[in-house]
Amino acid sequence: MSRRRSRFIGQTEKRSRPIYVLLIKMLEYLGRFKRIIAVGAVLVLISTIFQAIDPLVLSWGIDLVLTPGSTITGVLILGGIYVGLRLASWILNSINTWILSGARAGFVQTIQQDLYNHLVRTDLSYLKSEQSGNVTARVTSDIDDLGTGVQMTIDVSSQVLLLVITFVIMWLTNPLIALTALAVTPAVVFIVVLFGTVGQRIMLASQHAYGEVSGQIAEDLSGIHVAKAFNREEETAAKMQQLNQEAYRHGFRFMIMMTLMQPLIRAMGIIGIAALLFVGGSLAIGTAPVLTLGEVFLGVILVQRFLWPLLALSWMATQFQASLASMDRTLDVLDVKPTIINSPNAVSLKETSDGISFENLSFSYVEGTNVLNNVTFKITPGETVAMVGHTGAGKTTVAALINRFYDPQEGGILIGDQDIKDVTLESLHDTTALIAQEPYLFDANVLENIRYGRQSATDQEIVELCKLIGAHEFIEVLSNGYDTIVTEGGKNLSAGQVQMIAIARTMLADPKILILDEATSRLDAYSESLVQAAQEKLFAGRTTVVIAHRLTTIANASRVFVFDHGELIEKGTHEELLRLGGKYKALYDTYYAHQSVEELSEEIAKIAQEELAMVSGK
Amino acid sequence: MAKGQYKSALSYQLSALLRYPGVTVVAIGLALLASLLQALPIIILGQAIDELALTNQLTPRFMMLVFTILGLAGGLFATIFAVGYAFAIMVLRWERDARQEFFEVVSENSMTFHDQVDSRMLLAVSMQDIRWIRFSLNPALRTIITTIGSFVITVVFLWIIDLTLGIIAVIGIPLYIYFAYRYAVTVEPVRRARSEQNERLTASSQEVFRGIEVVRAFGAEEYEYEKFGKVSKEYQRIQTREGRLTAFYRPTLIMTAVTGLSFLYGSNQVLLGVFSVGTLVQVLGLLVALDVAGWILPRFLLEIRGGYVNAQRIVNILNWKDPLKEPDKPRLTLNWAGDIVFENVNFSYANNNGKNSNYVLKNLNLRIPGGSRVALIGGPGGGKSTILKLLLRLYDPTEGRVLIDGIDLRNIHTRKVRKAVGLVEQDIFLFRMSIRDNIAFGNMVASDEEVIEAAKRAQAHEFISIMPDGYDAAIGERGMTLSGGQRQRLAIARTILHDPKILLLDDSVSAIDAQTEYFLRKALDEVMQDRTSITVTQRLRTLLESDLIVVVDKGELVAVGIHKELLETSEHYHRIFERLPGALQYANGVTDTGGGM
Ligand SMILES: Nc1ncnc2c1ncn2[C@@H]1O[C@H](COP(=O)(O)OP(=O)(O)OP(=O)(O)O)[C@@H](O)[C@H]1O
Ligand SMILES: Nc1ncnc2c1ncn2[C@@H]1O[C@H](COP(=O)(O)OP(=O)(O)O)[C@@H](O)[C@H]1O
Ligand SMILES: [Mg+2]
Ligand SMILES: [Mg+2]
Repeated sequence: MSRRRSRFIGQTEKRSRPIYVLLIKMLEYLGRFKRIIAVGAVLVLISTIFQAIDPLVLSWGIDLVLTPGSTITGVLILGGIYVGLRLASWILNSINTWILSGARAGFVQTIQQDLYNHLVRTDLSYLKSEQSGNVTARVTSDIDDLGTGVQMTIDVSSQVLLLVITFVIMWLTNPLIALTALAVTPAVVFIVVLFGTVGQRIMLASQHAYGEVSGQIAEDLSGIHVAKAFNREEETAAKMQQLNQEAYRHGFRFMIMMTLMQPLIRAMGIIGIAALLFVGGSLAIGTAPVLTLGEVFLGVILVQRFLWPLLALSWMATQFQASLASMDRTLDVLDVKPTIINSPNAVSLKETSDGISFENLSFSYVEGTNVLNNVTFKITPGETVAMVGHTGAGKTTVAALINRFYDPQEGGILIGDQDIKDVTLESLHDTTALIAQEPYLFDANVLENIRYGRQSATDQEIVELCKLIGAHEFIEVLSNGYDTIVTEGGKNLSAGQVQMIAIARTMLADPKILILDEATSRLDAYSESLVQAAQEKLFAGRTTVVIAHRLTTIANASRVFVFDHGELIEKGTHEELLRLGGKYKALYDTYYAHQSVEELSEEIAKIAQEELAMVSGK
Repeated sequence: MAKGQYKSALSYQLSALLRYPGVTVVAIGLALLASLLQALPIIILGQAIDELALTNQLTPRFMMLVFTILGLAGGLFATIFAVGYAFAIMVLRWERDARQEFFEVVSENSMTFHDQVDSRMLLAVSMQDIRWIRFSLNPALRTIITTIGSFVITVVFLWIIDLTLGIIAVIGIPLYIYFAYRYAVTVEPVRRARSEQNERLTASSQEVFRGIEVVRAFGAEEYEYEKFGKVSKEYQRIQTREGRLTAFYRPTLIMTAVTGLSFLYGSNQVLLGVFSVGTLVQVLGLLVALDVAGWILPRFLLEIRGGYVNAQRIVNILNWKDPLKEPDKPRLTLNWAGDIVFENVNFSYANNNGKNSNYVLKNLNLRIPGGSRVALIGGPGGGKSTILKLLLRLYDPTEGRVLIDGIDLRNIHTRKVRKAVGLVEQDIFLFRMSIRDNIAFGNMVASDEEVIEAAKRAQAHEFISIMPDGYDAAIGERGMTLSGGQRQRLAIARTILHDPKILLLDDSVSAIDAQTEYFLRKALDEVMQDRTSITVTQRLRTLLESDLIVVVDKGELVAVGIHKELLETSEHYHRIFERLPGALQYANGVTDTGGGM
């Protein structure tokens, strides 16, 4: 049952792009920091050379003191050079770190902002198909991994450089020494292969298991009040224990592999000393030694040096894989081109455009199942229309389409005589405003939340509006009044308060066209009547669509549209439709009339049910 | 593990090791042995070079020394692996158990805790912070032990070789370690800031993606880019600062000085004929080998300090003092059909900084006769849901008492209260499990028949059976794949199966149509025979059928009574009533009959 759990850390499905594409993309982003990186590269080069040379100085010293007749002056000079080199490479390295840290963080920020901006514009159909935690992981943990990848690239290049220079120095000293040093490579190859194959698999499994744990914790924390109400804390904990144990099992396998690597490398280093000592020793003896003792010492030091970059490389390979995978997912996101964007020749919605028309519109969220079917209607400017129908009939979808959250597959929507596909999204959203069925508030204070509707609104205006819709009363008595911070979408407010604030936000936007999607469902009748009065006052004569859940709202509308299974089946005034005796009548009898007191006897209920079944054709 | 057991962040950070003191001691011993095994080859190398210098041929003694080094390689492999293995087991077990413990403590904490602490922060702590602490022990602490071991052994060898070298090392190396430590301490505030900023980043992007429709509808994309830009630029600043901490790492200079001085002194000694060349090789070899250690040390010291910061965060959470306490001498039996009494109840939610905010229930006095059907009405934020939550003992009143059958709820264990009281909440939360598991959430041992029976009563059976997988159908994130009315019916089925003695419905039928509600009501009446039920409602008929109507406004009780009385006595009730759908027809009807009498 945990198969589709969200994975907060390391989503690691198979990579879809070849490595070079990913690297090129990465370099492209890094390209924005060209100058900095060029400077960094030069610094790395110089400091690496210095770093590689300093053991050479020490070995010269050894040879110097072994040469008969040497004086302390030579030693002093070499000592000076040694310290000088070290100092220089220290300074260069530090400057380099200084510069590159900035570049790396800048890189991360740039790509993060790009990705974020892109996601905010991405089609809702994509965002809705992903869990919000997953989308967030794209801009946070994935990008962090990418940053690590960049750091790795920098580190790896300097390590490779060190490796090459070290090898060159060894070769120059004596090719045999250099070849002996290669004796350690089988171990390194072994490690690299181990990590590339088994290691990779274990790592994926382990990340997956941790993802499960994290997803479970996320869900359990958001449902904690339910767990408490049903005394389920213990069972929840037991389930967590299971997932935890699973993560432990995989994590353990991974860590044992890591644990194996270190002693292997270390032991290889020691074996390297023995091998070099033997080979170097053989070359340094006899009457015409090829090698000095100082050079034997140098060989020993260098073979150690040789090992570390290799070790670092193999270790980084795993990390690097992870960040390539992140780059891949990032590109996946960036490649999803939003389809709902301003068309090239989009114009602003004209001041005079008003009223809404749907023309033969069909729409489906998922291919094959039409949620709206050939819907045609015209709402004249200034008219108030109520939309009714069972849950799932498609009312909310109509509201979403007017806001152009989605584009219909067939047909179109006009505001006035302008197709909404041909107008800018900005002007469309300035003209229309929606109070959504599921109100959502941001983690900001109440005032800021309301001001979201219109940034230019003054505090005074907001307070006035709140007074009008009856929200002022309760906002005032919140712990910090209008400055009260809303936490996690409104968990410190009552359901009705959240809805009221959302209503205030939309009314503040003062749109020409207002859409209310069951906007008052969480309010008591009295508050609802205040909101309705405010709406009548502020939005009198404006085009209004009310998706209704109560009879009173319908009564105020000039026309009623009845939706059923995605079709607009009846249109007309309340009285007309009642007289028609069709679907609306049936709905009215069962869905709305209950709100009055007429006793709904079992017989009437049965009859209504049959009627319903007949109309809806089941 | 008991709550509040951790006295300090340090003991928390080290608890993986403190749990297995024996293993830890052995592992540390082996780690030090590994340092020795690492240094010995260099000593032997010096001897071998002397052998070469003296004899100028590969003597058997030389060969023996070479083989000894090979043997040491084997020993080193075994030792390091053993240490690594021991640490791996200890820290991974700890990680597993620590995460479990953290989760359990947090879910045991009352709602007051969850009101104050952001759940996203809790998630980050339970995953990342715990992992970082693990990292601070293995590899960080483990490697540091070996590294410090290497430093100490180098000092010892140098001391044995020559007093002056010994003194140089004894002064230089502790100085080095001291500076390395000082450096690691500076990272602490940066690391903390980074964690916090990372959370802010996660939170701010998550809220925007949750509320993306709102952003779109108000065309606020630009505004959001800018807002996010601020947060992520700040993160960039902190990351840069953290990265730059490793630049100009001064201890390296100390190491350079020590090596340089030893080089000069050693060479001079060779020139003077005091040292053999092998000794010089030993000295230099030992010191150069510390180079690698010098590279590792600061990074891992940093991890250890960073882990300490993480431990502080966790210990703070684990040691949170819960104001909701379980009774010392709990009442075991209680007549749940007894009267429910609110006695001078004042209540305020604790707000974010832990302080109590203003009262949301003020001086509430109310008696609800056992077995009655109560309707609760009032404006938004009136305190209706809060009253229900108090009855579930999700919170205790700040002042005053809630009594059932004369017993203060504080004297009853929360488990008992929640067994007896069932709540269908206002905003339904369903888990990502099958429908069956969701319904059986309050009674896991329920048989399939019982689950179906509960679903039938809740009028949910019908729509469940036409779903492709029926009762096994999975429910998506937060139950989003179901309509509002369907969610409410599942929640009601869940509560019915829980079989409460007191039923609380928080506006739980708002999205259910009349016909369904009619059958639902009948089914609930059967279930709730002689049991108390409290319903928050917007529906006229529910008001009329109630034995008692309670009206609250802004946390105060404004009226109690039955419909007829209230209509006459309460201005407030009248105001609400006249706006209820159908009220006017009803009122007319009443006057009609009234006139007829
Ligand atoms: N978890 C919480 N933390 C802080 N304050 C809260 C919390 N829950 C509710 N409140 C506040 O307590 C007051 C009462 O809220 P409550 O949810 O009881 O209202 P309600 O009567 O159920 O309203 P509604 O009809 O809108 O559901 C409100 O002012 C609300 O802002
Ligand atoms: N984001 C979505 N993805 C897929 N299907 C959806 C989505 N939103 C709604 N639907 C489906 O579209 C249909 C119409 O839903 P909706 O417009 O919300 O109806 P209403 O508002 O009338 O209750 C329902 O079958 C619903 O399950
Ligand atoms: Mg809807
Ligand atoms: Mg409520």
